Amino acid sequence: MVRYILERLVYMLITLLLIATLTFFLMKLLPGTPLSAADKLSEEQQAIVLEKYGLNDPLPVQYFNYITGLFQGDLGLSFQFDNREVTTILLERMGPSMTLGAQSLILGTIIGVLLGLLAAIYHNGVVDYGSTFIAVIGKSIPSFVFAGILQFYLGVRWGLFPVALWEGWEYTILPTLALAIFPIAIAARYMRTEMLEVLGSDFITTARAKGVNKFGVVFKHGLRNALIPIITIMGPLAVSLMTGTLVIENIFSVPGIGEQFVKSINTNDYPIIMGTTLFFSFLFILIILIIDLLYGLIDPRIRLTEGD
Amino acid sequence: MENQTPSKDLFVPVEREREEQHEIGRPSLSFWRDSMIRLRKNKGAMAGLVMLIIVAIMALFGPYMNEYTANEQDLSRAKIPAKVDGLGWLGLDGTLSQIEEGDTVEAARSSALARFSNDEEFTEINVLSDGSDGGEARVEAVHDPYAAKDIDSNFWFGTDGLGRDQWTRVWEGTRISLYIALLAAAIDMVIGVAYGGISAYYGGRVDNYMQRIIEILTGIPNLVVVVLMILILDPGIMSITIALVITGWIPMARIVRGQVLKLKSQEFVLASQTLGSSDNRVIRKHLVPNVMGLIIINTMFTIPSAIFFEAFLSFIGLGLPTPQASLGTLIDEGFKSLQIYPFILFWPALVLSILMIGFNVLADGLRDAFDPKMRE
Repeated sequence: MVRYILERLVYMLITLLLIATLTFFLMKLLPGTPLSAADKLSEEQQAIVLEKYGLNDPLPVQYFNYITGLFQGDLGLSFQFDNREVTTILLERMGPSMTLGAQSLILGTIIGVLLGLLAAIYHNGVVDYGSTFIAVIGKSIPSFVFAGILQFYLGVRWGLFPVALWEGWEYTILPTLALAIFPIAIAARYMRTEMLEVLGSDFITTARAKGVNKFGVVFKHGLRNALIPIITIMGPLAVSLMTGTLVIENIFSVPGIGEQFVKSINTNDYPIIMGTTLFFSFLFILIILIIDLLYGLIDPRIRLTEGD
Repeated sequence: MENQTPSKDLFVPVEREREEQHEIGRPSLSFWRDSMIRLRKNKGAMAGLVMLIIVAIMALFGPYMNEYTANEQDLSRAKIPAKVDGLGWLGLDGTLSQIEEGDTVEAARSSALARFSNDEEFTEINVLSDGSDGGEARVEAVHDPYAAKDIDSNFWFGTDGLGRDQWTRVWEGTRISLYIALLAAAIDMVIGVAYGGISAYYGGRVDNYMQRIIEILTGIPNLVVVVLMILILDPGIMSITIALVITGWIPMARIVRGQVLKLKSQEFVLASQTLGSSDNRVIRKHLVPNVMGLIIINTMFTIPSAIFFEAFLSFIGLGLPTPQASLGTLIDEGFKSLQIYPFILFWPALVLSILMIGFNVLADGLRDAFDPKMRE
């Protein structure tokens, strides 16, 4: 087990280094420097600015500095915000993004699991079709379209929740709902299939034959076994939420990482783009690793290494 | 009735005929015909197919159905809602309405009127509540921009912020979105099938190296790759397609590899090889037909995700440059005036949703149809 984790960590490191290298050189290919008003500055001033960002050094030196900086948690200085470190900016903005991500993932999974469960219990009934319908809609319609609908009806038309900004818990409701639709759909579909399979297995028949009531069969015997595979979809779901937050944070003006990323793309703030890219990749790889480990831990039928 | 013991004479041996033994109970069906029959029985999938066909036809011919063009701007007729003759009961009557509250009816009336630049002639005022019940007075103003601006031909989807016809723009946008998605899906398919096929068929060291490459590539979130690629390439249809393809082929390669690995160790392949079939023949006659179903299903799922990613890119400011419009850029524009003119967002969002639902439902149906376990 320990060996497996170490192996995975090494792979993770290689991938991250590769991404860092790739982003670094890609960014160097792009036009633009932090000197947005270059013509107003004298040559001397330009040299000072370039020096500050370390852009005067030859490329290999810059690359070396960047990579060593990474290991110390230093992602460089932002071009856009004077003298601010990318790491600080990201840490500051992590709160709202994490709140939204966690809330929508938890809410989405719980509702999705319940929907899927009901669909399996009332298989081929009205509830089943309703749940399938919700799943198809939620999987197909992009979160930003949902965000528009929610924002217009719940925010503007009926005034139930704040339309945008980030000034308290009630401000998280609409973006969370918009993001939660996709997890709901995926979890519901998955749960339905798993639950149907579990309910059809022999130990359920045994439990029934022993006289366990329907409630007990579904919750005690069925749900426990059907829930395990749900963990596998949490990884891809969390990753898809990362994509979702980029748009949703912009629509609802949430001061999170995604909003900053989009702003930086539009202002050519390369250090922030690179930093966020790395951060996203790190998160992505970490989530997948955690899910893999968790899966092996929870389900005794799956062991990562033989003889463990 | 008494029980009778049947006498032996009652039993007559059945004469077995040679032909009967060889008779097949049901007509022989090829895998494809069988799958298609199952697909046709799937109501959801058929509904999806119909939706897609309608959207595709409209994307092809919609822009020519009225006299407006996609780029013809006229600020005087900006942000007009949709109007279709005969569909007024659906809300497509081309009017804007605004409900205002105020201390008195007069105050509410004037603030409602102010919303339509005090154009009293073409604004109808309905008093919903005169405030006599103790609450605020509520007044609804209904404005008819078609009459006010003297427009005689209808905008079926209304106009956007620059007075361009949304109908034409939406269908041209659909065309571009579909084009990008189909192109990306096709390239994904070719690369993925080739990569996965080669990796699995040759196996050994080739497979090992090719899989290591894939492993590292999957570690990179596709969001990041797509954004970086778009930043480097100049925005345009081709660069968006390339950005989508760069990560898009990986799932296909994995699926094809898995399937080919499974198939190539099976007896029928061994039998064919023993009978002297060449690699070429094994691939063409045994592997490809058996992987085909999976390839089709996966491609069907790639298309909606490509449509989504393209719209997503437009949304974060990396979409098509301005004169061109895809559904994504149209939706992005719609958000800018969502509060007052929600209909600008509504039409492209509707078409995008129909497309996504259509592809997803059809792909689900195909998956069920190709699954031999679902066979009755």
